[in-house]
This record gives sequence, structure tokens and C-alpha cells, in this order.
Amino acid sequence: MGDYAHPEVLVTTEWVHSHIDDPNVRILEVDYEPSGAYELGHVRNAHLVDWKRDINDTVRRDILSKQQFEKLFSRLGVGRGTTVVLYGDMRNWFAAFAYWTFAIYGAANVKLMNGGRRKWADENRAWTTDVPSAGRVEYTAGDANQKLRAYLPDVKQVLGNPAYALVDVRSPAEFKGEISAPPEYSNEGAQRAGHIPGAASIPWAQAIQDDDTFKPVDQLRELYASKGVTSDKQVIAYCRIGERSSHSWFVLKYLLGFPNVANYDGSWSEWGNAVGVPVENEAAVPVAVH
Amino acid sequence: MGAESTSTLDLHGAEDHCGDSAAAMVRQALDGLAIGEELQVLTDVAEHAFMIRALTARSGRAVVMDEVHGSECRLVIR
Repeated sequence: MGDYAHPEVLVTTEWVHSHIDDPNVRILEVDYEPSGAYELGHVRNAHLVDWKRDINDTVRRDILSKQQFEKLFSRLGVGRGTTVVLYGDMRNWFAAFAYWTFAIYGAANVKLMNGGRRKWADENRAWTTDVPSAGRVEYTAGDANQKLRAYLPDVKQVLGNPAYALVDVRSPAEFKGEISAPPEYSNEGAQRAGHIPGAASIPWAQAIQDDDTFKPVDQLRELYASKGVTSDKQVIAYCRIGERSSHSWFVLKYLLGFPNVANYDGSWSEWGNAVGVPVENEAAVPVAVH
Repeated sequence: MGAESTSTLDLHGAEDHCGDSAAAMVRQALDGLAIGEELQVLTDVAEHAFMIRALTARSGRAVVMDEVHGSECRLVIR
């Protein structure tokens, strides 16, 4: 894994293949749309984690609670000594989001399969539709580490503070304010389009290679440094609902080793709908088109 | 018997902008086919090709053309 700050957080597809039957490894596929991914075929012995149902509170807009997290890991048979490997659909975004939520609750021994489903398919590795069973264990989590999460008041408070760096990982069109969300996701749209003042535009995909594996550390360092995002700053990443930004959070915190990185999961779907917060809109479109 | 017409869905760059998944796009395209119409799907992602074959099998349709040239895949679904 080169000189990543924390190479232990990544595993290769080959490693996963070699540990598919390891009873101390729990492979979890985290999908936004299981019917288009896990249910069609998944890594053998991988358990499904439905991002909408299992990682989020289904009533309030929030991530799962500590109690829900404990129930999830208990159901999946994850004990204290279990190595958890995450991968998933949609470019590993939701697997990265699950990594972030698991980190909030202090889960140890969690890894991300570098390259996700794309690399597994690129290497012509086997898929299965067999669904494994898991023996239930009792899992106890730690209290939430709020340092890993930014809320709207936190972001408002740091605007203009040079000790902080805001990273907008959305597409250029979203950043400029040409759109706030694709038409098929009108529920993620906002009343206003644009970006948070002072945010650097560093689209998430600039951190990966064509096979969805992460770029080498020197390229990642230059990617962020070229936009003024350096390890001496406290960094807050955001996107639209916080999943693309969790992918970039993972890069900044674990691959580059930045000591202070938070994911603002309210992201643009919150900021763009909030009354009275400042917005920069290069497209000069006063009202979001979606 | 040849198709009366062919619709084309190009998945290059799909999922780059956090919109519909490739699977959702394929489903929508299949749902929109007229009787006798075929769907041609173009992609450079092996994962998409796997998904298309699996979705097609589950939908009761058939892949009548499955070409792979390097990273480029062309599948035709009837």
C-alpha cells in the first residue's frame, strides 16, 4: 500500500479472496441499492448491509444510534476480535460512509477493500448469490466520537478561519451552482445551489484510479495541497448527503494521516436549504434548478 | 427475427455524479422498451457488464449480443 499513513485500513481484493473462509473475518457489502448489486451477486460469504436501513435512522435524518450500531454488529456476528472488511456499490461511497459511522462508535479492525466491486469484477473474480448466515454475538460499542463529525453550526463557526479547510467533493457543476442535485434525486435537492464560501473544490473521484483503487500517497498529498488543504489545518469535507465526502474523509484521515478531519454529513442538502447561511454561486443562478 | 428498433444506453461516466445507479438506468431503459425493441448497452466497466447479465437473467429477457473488446463492453438485450 505504499506509504499511506495507515496502510492497515486497506485490504486488496487478493487479500479478501484469500480470507473468504476465515472465521475471524466478516465481509460486509454496504449497498445503497442492494437489488442492483448484492442481490445480483456478491463476494462469497459477504453479508449485506443496506445503507438506507442499517446505517441510517429511518425516521430522523441521522446516522444509526449507538444502540442500533450494537444491534447491527451483534446481528452480523462481529465480535471484538473480528476483522471487518467493507466494500459496496456506487464506487465504495457507502462502504466509506459505513466505515465513518463505525469509526464514530469506536469499531476497531475495520478495513476497506480497495477498489470495491469494480476491481473485483475487473479481475474476473467469482460472484455468488448465496446468502451466508452469521452466529449472533453480543457487541458493545463506545460512545460516539463527535470529533469525526461536523454539524452545521460547526461549519458556520469556522467560515473564514484559516486554521480550517473546507473540502467540497461534489462535481464541478454542483460546486458552481449549476445544479444542486440530479433530477432523479429531487429529495436531495436544495432551495439554493452553489457552495460553502471558502470551500476548495476537490471532487472525490480525483483521489482514485480507473479501477477505483486509491491513488498513491504522493499524488493524494499533491491533490489536496494544491488547493491549500494541508495536514496543519482542521479539515471538514462535505458533498450532498455525506457519502462521497466520507470517501474523501477516509483518504484525508487514513491515507494521508491528517490528524483532524470531520465529515459534514448534513452537507449541501442541509446547507443549501438552511435559512440565512452564506452561499457562493458562480453560476449566478439565484434559485436552484432542481 | 431481428429487432424492429434498438435503443442505446451509454453507461460511460455513469455514477460519476451521484445520480441514478447504472442498474437503475438499465432497469428504466428496459421498462421503456417498445414491443420488439432491443436495448444496446455500452460500458467500459466490467462490473456493469456483470450487472446487466444478471439483471437480464432475472427479468426474463435475454442477452443476444455480448461483445467485449479490451475494457469496452457492448451488450444487446431483447
